[in-house]
Amino acid sequence: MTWSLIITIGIATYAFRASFIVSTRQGTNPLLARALRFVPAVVLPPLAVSAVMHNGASTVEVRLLCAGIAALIGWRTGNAAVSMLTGMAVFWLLLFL
Amino acid sequence: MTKRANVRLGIILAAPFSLSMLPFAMVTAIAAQNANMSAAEAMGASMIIFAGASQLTAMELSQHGTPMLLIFGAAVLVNLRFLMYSAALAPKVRDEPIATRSLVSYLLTDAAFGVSTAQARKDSTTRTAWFFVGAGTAVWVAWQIGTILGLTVASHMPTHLSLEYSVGLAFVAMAVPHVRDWPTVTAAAVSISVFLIARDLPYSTGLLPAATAGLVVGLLAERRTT
Repeated sequence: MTWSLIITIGIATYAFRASFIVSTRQGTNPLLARALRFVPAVVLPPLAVSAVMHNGASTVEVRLLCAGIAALIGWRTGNAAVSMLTGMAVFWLLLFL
Repeated sequence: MTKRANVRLGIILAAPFSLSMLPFAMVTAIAAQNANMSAAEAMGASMIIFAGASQLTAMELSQHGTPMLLIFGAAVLVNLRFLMYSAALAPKVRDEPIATRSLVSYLLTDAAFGVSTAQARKDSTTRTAWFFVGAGTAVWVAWQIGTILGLTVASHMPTHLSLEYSVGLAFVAMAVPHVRDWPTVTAAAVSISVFLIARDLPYSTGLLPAATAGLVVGLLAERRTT
């Protein structure tokens, strides 16, 4: 990942953040607002599956199992940090036992 | 409340969330090292992009030799939600000077937005812009400290600990809050399925048809339930 990518992604991200706050434009198109709500839900889960399948020691099955446990904990507790740390603890447990 | 009191309250109320950002920031530093980025580039990403999901997406994809345009597209796509936050926050900061609003924009994150809208609901005398500057700064400082910690830790940890696994877990933890009702569950399931079917496509380009299919099915599912 190069500086040009870092800077262009940064500029686009700032444009989103500033869009309504800096300009005094008001209101969003309702269909657009509904579609936007889905974007993280359709982009992040496949990336999560891909990252879990491709990164780390142990087998794919073990990695998917630990990720499933982490997802369950994140869903029940609503705490992302606890979810991640528990997932890592279970992963190490299975890796070293 | 004075300006200063608003800023201070923002820092205090955002502190627990900022602390829980630390492991995520550390993971972005680990992902940066996996993607062969220098320490300066990793810090630059944390300061210029300052958005975890986006940084991780770009770093994860660049490991697979994905074309620049697709990396840019995916990293920007996960930040589209900031448009909604920006629209929601705008009426509350409309009367502030442009410099303040520019700063608020830079500091806009999930955590700062969550804390600030909760506070605005609870106490209508809060001056949202200044409270937000406090909350946003707390998150920003934690994010930079976490990145530095991650860069330090990652280069000293033995490789058999397989720290890079935490990148996958960070994606999982970030994805879960966005999958919260029947339509979003359906959308996510469709997106994952298409992505797995298309996983032999080079450089994770399967992400595009996967996200599109998930989006369409999600919108249809929502229409049925409402």
